[in-house]
Amino acid sequence: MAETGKLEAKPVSFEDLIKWEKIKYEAPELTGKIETPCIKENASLSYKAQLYKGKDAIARLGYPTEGLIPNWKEKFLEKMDEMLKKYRSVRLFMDICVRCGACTNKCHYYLGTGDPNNMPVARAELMRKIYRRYFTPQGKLLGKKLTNSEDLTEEMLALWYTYFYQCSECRRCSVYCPYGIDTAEITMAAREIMNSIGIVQKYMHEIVDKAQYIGNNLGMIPDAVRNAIEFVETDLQEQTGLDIKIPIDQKGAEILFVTPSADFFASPHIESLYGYAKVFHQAGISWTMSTYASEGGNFGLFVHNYNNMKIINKRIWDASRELGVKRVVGGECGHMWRVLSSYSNTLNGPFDWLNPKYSIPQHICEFTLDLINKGALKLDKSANDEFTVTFHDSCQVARGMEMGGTASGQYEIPRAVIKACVNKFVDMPENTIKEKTFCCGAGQGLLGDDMLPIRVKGAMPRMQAVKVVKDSHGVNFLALICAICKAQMSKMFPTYGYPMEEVGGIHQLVSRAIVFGAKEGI
Amino acid sequence: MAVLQNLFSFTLTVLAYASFAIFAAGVLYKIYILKKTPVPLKIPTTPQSTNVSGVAARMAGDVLFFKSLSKGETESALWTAGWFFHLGFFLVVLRHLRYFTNPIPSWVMLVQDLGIFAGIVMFFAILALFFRRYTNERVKHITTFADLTILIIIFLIAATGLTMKYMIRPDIVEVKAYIFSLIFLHPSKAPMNPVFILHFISVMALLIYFPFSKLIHAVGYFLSPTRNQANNPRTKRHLNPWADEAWDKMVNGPRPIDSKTNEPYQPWSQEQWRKKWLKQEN
Repeated sequence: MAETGKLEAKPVSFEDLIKWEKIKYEAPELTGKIETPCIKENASLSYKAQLYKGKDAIARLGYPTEGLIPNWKEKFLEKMDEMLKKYRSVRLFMDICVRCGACTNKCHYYLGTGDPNNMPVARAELMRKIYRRYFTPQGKLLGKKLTNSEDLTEEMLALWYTYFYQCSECRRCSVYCPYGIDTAEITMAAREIMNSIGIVQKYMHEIVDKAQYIGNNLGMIPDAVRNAIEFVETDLQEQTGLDIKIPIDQKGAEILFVTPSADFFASPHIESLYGYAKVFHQAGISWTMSTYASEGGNFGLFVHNYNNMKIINKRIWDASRELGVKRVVGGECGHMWRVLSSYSNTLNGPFDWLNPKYSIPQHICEFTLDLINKGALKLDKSANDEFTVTFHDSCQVARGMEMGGTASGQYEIPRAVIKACVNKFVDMPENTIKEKTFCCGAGQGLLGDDMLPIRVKGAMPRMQAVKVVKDSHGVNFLALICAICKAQMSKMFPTYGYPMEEVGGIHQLVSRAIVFGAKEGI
Repeated sequence: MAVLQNLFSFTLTVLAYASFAIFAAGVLYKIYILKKTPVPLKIPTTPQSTNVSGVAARMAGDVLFFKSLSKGETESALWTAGWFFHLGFFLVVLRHLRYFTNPIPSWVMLVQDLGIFAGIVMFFAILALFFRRYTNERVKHITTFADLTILIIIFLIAATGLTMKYMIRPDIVEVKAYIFSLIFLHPSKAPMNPVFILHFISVMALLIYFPFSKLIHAVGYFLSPTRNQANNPRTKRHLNPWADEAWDKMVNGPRPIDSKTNEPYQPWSQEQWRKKWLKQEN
């Protein structure tokens, strides 16, 4: 008997603590109500993200390649100190949380799983426990109990890896926090700290490397990009019988258009690419895409690694300068827009070679709405009569940027474009849209198939809201402006028992409604 | 007995000066550290106004009416208890100015009754906050020892304050004389009313604890980048003070060798990318 006891007491290695395992998942039944679940300890402890083993790529990103480094504690604290000194957000959010609990039922992962560590405050406390222990006088002097702090152990590190990769950095908690504490900032710092000691998550870092090394998230070499776009072009010409062009690397064009590479062939993304091309064609403005800047998305946002984000962003501005364009317009994507609109100017500005008359860069919805208002686009709403449409505000757009130069343009402009294309539009319940929008459940590095179980749980609040408008208004089209939302929702709709075709981009609607021919405006 | 009393009085006086010094220095140091820490990027939580006056209006709403907190559907109890507690605390502090001024300004005399009422409100608000920490499962889960410590200190302050008002009244003239002796740096003997001493000590404890604890949210809020930045990144360039240094460090630092080109890998170099992927064209 004593021997079995010994076997059980065998210490678990760190690799076992963060090991990814395939977990069966099942969509919960939809009721139309978003209820706060009771706390279920460790409910999502077993949902881990896969570790990255690609040594070349990890080396290229500047992280240790051999897994957890031997002197990791030292390096961990050194990096954490650096984060605290470089980011006021991180330092301040460590200090000022009063644990009031306003955020506890705001996270879609908590609502989906009931795991207490998925409450934003508890997630941040994972870092605060280390902060208090090593970076505050009381933590150094008084015991762990009194200051509620924690020593740096492998168990703690495993908790970090688990729960900081169960945060989609959607910032919903920061809306409700009386001090604006943004868990995304803390998650980003935590991920960078883990990267620096050799714990690198696979999905997002594989993509950060591809975007830097090859030029886009899908890892398509320039010829492949050209082929894919030519294929879209042929398709479009067959569809419409018109000579619609998608120019590539054309110097002297008026507009450089960047979009997430998923738009080149993923479904339903590609439908929006048709829409963009049709809008440019009908507007008669010369435009081009670039093989060098063949990616709009920037996964560098997801960790506090300033240079990696800057390198990816730099491609767009280098290409725009080289091609001699006057404007940069970006397609539908959430985090891409946060970086493009909120960070570009800081990262790679100022953009004095571009036309200051237009916002730099310009969102495709701003661009399209502008044309609609000028009368340069004619839209036939009846073409979309089979659809009753609702709109999902992407988290990074809704809570991270402005559109049209006004504080709430990011809510109004996409809706205005939709309303110009369809007759039947309804909004989801008030507490699930605009600034209170729920994340699709797969943002910021959680879109990998390894994360499917947590993605299904995280999508629950959004699906409940969809069910409400489905039942009350017969909604059969969810309009999106984010490549990640499109990928996630086209997977979640079938999982929750709805047809996949009910998901699509705003420019998919534009594409169906657009009427070609002589222009009335301008 | 007199010796013991003198010794105790002396200890209180030292505590008073020490706590005030720790409070002032601690808070100033915290503000200095936070101010010094750069904000590399624009991260306001939108919808955020695109101009400074709009940002100020939002922050005023947050500070005066807890606007962000009131957005939650389940936070009405917390909002009520929290808002009345803070307002009560503020009015009580105003009322106490009568012990620190001579002659007493007329407006301080006007808020006396209100201040007493605010003290009672504050007392019950703390009880409500206490109650909430234990009845709400999620809040109970995140409550730490430090959260309770602060609640207990403030509860003691309110309870002893109300006791002095309604039950065991100290000699107010003596108390004010002591406070003035502290202000003018020739401390006299402290009043030996036990309730007053407990009140006095708990206030000192709060002052000492302030800069090291979550109470720093009182000044921290104003430095919060998700609230105090204008939402105008496309029109006004925000600068990151450490961007160039970090970039130079990476560019000039050791780079891994690219197996395809056998050169140090430079992801920021367009020429290298061309050489690698556009061979067909060359």
